[in-house]
Amino acid sequence: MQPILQMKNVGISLPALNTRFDVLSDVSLEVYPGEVVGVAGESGSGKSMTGKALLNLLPAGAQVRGEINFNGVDLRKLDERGWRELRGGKIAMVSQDPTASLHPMLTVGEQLTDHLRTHLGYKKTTARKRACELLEQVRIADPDRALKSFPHQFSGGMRQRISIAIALAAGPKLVVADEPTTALDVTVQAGILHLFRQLSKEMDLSVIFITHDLGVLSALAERTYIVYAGRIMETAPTDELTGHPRHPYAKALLQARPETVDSGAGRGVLRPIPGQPVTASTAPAGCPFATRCPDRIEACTPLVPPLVPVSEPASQRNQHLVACVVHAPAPSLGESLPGSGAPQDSSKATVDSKAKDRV
Amino acid sequence: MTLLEISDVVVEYRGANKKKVAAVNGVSLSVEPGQIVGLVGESGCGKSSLARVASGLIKPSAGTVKLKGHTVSPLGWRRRDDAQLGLQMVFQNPYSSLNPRRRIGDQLMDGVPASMPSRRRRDHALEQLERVGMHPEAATRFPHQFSGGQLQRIAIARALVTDPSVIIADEPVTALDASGQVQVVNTLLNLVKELNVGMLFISHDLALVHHIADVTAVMYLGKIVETAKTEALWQRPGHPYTSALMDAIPRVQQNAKLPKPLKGEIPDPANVPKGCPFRSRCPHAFEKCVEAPPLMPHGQGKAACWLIQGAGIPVRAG
Amino acid sequence: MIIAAAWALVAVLAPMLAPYGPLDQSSDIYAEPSASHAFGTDELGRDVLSRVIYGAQLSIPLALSIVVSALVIGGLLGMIAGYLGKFADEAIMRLTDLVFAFPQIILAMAVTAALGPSTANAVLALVIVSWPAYARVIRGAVLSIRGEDYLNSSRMLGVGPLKALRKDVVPNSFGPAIVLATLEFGNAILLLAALSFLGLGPRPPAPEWGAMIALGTNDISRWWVSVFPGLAILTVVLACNIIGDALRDRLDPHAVGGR
Repeated sequence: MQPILQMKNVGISLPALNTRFDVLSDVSLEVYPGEVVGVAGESGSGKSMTGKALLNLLPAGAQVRGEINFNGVDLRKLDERGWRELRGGKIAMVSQDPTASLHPMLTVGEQLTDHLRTHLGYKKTTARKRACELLEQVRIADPDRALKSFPHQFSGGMRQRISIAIALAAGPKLVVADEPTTALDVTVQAGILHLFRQLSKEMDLSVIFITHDLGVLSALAERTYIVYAGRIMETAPTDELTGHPRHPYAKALLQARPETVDSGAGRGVLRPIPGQPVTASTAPAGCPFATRCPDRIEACTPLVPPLVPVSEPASQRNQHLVACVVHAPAPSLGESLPGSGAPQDSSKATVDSKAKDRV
Repeated sequence: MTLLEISDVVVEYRGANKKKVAAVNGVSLSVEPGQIVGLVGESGCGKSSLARVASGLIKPSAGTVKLKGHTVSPLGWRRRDDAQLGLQMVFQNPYSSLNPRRRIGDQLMDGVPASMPSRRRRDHALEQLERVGMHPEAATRFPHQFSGGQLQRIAIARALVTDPSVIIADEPVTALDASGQVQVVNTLLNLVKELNVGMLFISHDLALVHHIADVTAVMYLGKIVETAKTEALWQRPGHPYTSALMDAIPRVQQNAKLPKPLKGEIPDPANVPKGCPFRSRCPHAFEKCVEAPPLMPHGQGKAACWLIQGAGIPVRAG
Repeated sequence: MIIAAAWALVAVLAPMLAPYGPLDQSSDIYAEPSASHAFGTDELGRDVLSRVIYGAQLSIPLALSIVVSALVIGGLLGMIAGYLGKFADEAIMRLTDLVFAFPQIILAMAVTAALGPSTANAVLALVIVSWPAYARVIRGAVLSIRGEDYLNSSRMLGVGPLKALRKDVVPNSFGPAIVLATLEFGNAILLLAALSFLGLGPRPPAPEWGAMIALGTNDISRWWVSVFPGLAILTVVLACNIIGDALRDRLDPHAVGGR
């Protein structure tokens, strides 16, 4: 199966005074049809920018490098008209704050039908019927009444469902959800997560779910990417990632959660990751996590560690990749990797023997 | 002796059509020295209104709040009574709880007890900054020079300047990022241990409250539906809402199932149906629920659910 | 900014800059602009350039005093309204509504005419007409500060209501008022000129720009008598507006209300 989205070595820079700075350094990811992919990171990691790049909703003056292929189309070559067709049509977005993306003065019905009529050329009655269907699809009770109501008459969770309905209106193949449940109560969040799962299965819809909460991705996302300082640190099928994380940052993220029911009573001090988070532009040379990493060694600093497979993957899709010189696999596998350039090989041999000594 | 005693507090306000709406509908809580009481509830449950009454910012429509046995009088046109300075609050938004135009040190000095001799005043304020892990040099700076987590710790230092016995923390980490949350939670935990203050920690995050509170109270639609020692609450919840909250928490697990949602919506507080307020959404509702259950003994705590009289809530699988 | 600074300089240094006295008459009546009279002369042979320069010395301090007085009075009332609330608030707001009900110039004219045309009365009238805008703005600022937690925090620490007013409310509410004041300065100049154009302000032979324009209308063919004072008003007001806008953009994205 081919992925519907492929991002290769994507970087995004923004202008500032007389120079430019990176918000994303080098991100490569893939999304297959009908799957939910998680993108996890803290604030400043660049995870939101990744999503916005897919809809060309980047701030003015942003420059994108690398390749972004969606269904065979190179998104970097699209002009404004091409983007307008794509946005909403093939790729849609759901963002964190539904209050901001819903027009306060128009009824829900008006907002949905407007969208359907302008972008899809529906006639009035067909649009209304479709709007009703969409509200049913997002499990809003009494859609007829909902169509006549205004956004402020709904709770936060319902408003988010309405945002999702608008996103689905034109039948996209990919939805970018940027922290869609962060502002919601936990019981409401659970409902929205179920909705995403159902929609993904029913409509063969791919979802990129961007969040800082690994717990959410644990149940919802089939595969997860961990982003830090504008780079991917590790990626794997979610269960594999949470069960056998390799990258020290991934391990730290998993351990930094407050104790849950399963791990017994709390009243211990939370274990923070020492140091302050780093962004793409403030990252030092080499591995961006090196300054805060408990396992750091000499070889971590000069060059950025490449993403390498942890083991022979069952399929291209289910690879477990990690960007770490310390926790990367043993040399025997390393030599068979395509494209692991010459300069790395010699240092890798010594590094891995050191790693073996540690373990 | 009980530091803070909240008894049958009701907070009413006028709703959209002039109808009286109760944000807090008869809540009783107490806080002992060295104890952290966690109050958990989702949006609309009334916990913020309760925080304001508990700290003496506003007057309850009914019920009393007592600090060390003396009734707390709300903020009015006079200076706050010295006796009440022992009740302090940490607010949710660190960016608006400090005056942007005054130096940190000056703002802290406002709270130094009048009885302290003038040469000790500055030192006392600086000591509190150190207590929360901030460099005393912060006193010369302005709020905009700090991050959210740092500002919140400064706000805590300010509360400490009065030598408080009770601190009300109203969602102190909700507005912070992950590292800020850790900073502040650890600071609060250390303080309670060191100074033996009592704390009412209000949050929507049940997992966080589980982590730091000795006693947990769960609030829904203006009422406490359950209260128990934290660990007991987690082992055997007495109220279906508590159980639902726990089921809804996303957890990192192998083969994780999606967290369980709660059906329905929180009812409009102006229009709460008769009987148990949770009845419309409760998976275990039965005939008796048309009569509102009072808080009844459950283990060593209390829960407001008729199921306790029988076999309790059906046990959750896993 | 440069224009404003230039005008301020002109106002202060007027006696040194003007080639002639403002009241000096000469026989050179209605002379066209020339080397000896850069802006020409008016019907009494007075050098227009000098009168424009002296006009600055007249109008700018007057406008300044109008703005400051209105700011102080309006600010005080606005603060009382916002901080005390209830009756004080109602009373003061109804008062502002009363003033706002009239177009500024009409009300100013009515007051000046009633009190008798003079410089002092014109200033008084303009202060009466301008204070409500400041009151509204400051009241708004005070109300939003009351919603901020830092005011409550101060009170929680035992700070009394007056000290809290002084330390927390006042410093944070003056931002938008200052922006308004800069914009109002230009407006004050304009209104002052309008009043004197109508004969209700500073009496002749004072070199007030509005009065000068009025005199110039007696004979439009001698365009220089009206145009130059007009340009003076234009440039001062424009400079004020630009500074005011820049200040507002810098201080706060929220727009200044009040009218």
